Amino acid sequence: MKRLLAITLGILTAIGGFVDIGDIVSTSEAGSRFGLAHAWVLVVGVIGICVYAEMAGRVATVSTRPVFDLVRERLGPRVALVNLLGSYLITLMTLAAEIGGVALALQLLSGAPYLLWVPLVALVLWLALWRAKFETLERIFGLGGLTLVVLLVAVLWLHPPVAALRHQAFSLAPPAGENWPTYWFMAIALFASAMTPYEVFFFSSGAVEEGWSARDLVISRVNVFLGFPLGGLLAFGFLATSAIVFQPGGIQVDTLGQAVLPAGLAFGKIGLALLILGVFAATFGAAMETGLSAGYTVAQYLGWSWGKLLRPRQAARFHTVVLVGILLAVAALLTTIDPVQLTEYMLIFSAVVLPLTYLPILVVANDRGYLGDRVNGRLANAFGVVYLIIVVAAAVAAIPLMVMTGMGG
Amino acid sequence: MRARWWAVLPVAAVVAVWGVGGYLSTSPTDRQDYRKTAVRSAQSAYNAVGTARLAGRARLDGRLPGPYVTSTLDDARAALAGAAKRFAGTAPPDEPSAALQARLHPLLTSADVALGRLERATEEGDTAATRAAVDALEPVAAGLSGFVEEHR
Amino acid sequence: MPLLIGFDLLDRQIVDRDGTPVGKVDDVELAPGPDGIPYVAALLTGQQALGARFGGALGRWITATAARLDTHRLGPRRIGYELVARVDSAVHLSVRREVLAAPALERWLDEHLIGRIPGADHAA
Repeated sequence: MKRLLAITLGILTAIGGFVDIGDIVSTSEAGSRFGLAHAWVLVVGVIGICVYAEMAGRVATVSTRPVFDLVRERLGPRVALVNLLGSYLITLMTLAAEIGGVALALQLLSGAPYLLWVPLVALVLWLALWRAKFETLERIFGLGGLTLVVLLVAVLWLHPPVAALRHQAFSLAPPAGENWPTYWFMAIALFASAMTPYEVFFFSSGAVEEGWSARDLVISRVNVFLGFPLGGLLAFGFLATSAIVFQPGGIQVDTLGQAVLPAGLAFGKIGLALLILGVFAATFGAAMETGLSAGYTVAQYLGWSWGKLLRPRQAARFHTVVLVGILLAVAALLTTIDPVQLTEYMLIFSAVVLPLTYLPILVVANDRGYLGDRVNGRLANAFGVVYLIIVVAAAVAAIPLMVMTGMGG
Repeated sequence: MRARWWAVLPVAAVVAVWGVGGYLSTSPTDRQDYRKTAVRSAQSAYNAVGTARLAGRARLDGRLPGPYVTSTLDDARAALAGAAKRFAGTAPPDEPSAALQARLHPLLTSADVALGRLERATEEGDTAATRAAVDALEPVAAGLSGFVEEHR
Repeated sequence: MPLLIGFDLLDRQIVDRDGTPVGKVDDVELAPGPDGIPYVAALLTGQQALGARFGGALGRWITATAARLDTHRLGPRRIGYELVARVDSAVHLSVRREVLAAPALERWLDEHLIGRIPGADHAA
């Protein structure tokens, strides 16, 4: 049992990365407009995050240095500051969106407007980050997010038009009525959502917090190679159910309520409630992930003490950054900005700064000063280089595609 | 000196983005732009109506809880209102565009009426009225999707 | 073993005897040795030192902001190199961080904000 629970860090990281509020809605949108034509992006994204999370986890376990330490050591303080500002801003926007997402899930369950839930959600989130044990949080929300599996069962239950879906999945092209720029715009958004930088910040910092050492390398790898594909599979659930329910009728999805509807159609009230609970756990997990990551990046850039193993007074600066982040997120939400739109922007901007996070990881994963004989092998380097090229290409194409398609409209 | 460069780059980028954005938002809409706006609004309205139909039907089968239906229909009406507002905010630049407007405008209005009916019927828990409202959504959806197909 | 200051030392994390973060090596202080070859006398850490290394308007702003909290005008925190036990992926000190002067910002936030919230004295 203990061994089984040791992989909750990977599960939580992956669920927070793959099925947070922005991903849920944009994956469902992709499914409703393009069917399964983006399924390959999820596969590419899962492999990419596995490659880099494995490196980050290996560096964190062997050298006990989390990712943002490496970013500054290898890029120098100036370029790292650019990365810090970019990553911090994205993480903060995501945090706001996730708090909004938790509130939206509560709205779907209760009927009360989500803005009423926002302050309460923020308070509970802060209390969890202030008082609760890292492991406890990991287990509750990592395992709670697993109820999203109901969606995968729904895929089978909804009488999928197998031939049509298979055709979409292997055609790798937009269906009639949609165009290539929008297709690629959505592909980049989905790829960026698989590789969001806060995943590696959180995973590597979590590995340090859990006190993993070189002996725990196996645990780290199991976390990566089970957790992220699982996250990708759950995201696929949203893609496929939307492709089955909405795409044939030409209905485009752009709200959380629409995204969870297929579960209700398949399994009625209980199925819908289970899925919404899963969404609640996943978005709350993502809110913790981003809330802590905001603190991690700033603290690790400046060398401050951080983490939940210390008493808050011993990491006063870290806890202040986390608290301020939550307050800023609430303030942003109370301007009635749409949390879903917020993440759609976030995904595109995160595509732009991705290379600044992944390059240092690749460099350090080859540095014997950090890793001894645990440096990258040929396979890891081959994948690492290929993905770095993909990441750079996505970063370059993101903004022009956003302007060309008017946010994928 | 280098620090000044760092400051200049983002400022220049912001100025450029604002400049382009400002130009685009003030330049007069031509027929193509108008058609695109119309199709976009029709598509949003169709999405709202289509979702409401799915949710309404499932509600009749007892598959969806009340709070969920309320909030989904609420979202649908908000999306429709947004689309209608965007469409109304653009003036048709020429004769064919005005014809386009004359076709879409009544569709948007009837969509709003039909969604309103469904929302009321589900809130009151009136099954017969809900069924009638769901049925009434069908011609509206067909009209909107026909419009999108034709002018895309 | 000779260290490449720029590569092996600058921007590394400094941790205390228990592995708790103390700060970054934001700058180093060199002193001439007996044979005329300069050696690293101390590590400088904190935003004042970082700002000085940044240079330019941004650097001046960082230094000035950090200095405002430094009421006693002590300058950047200085950690004598004799306290360094070993350098690998981090710079390990031979002492616990409580022995060193607490950073101004940490102390201020502890006194005025974090320390006042219930539960601040207990690790989660």
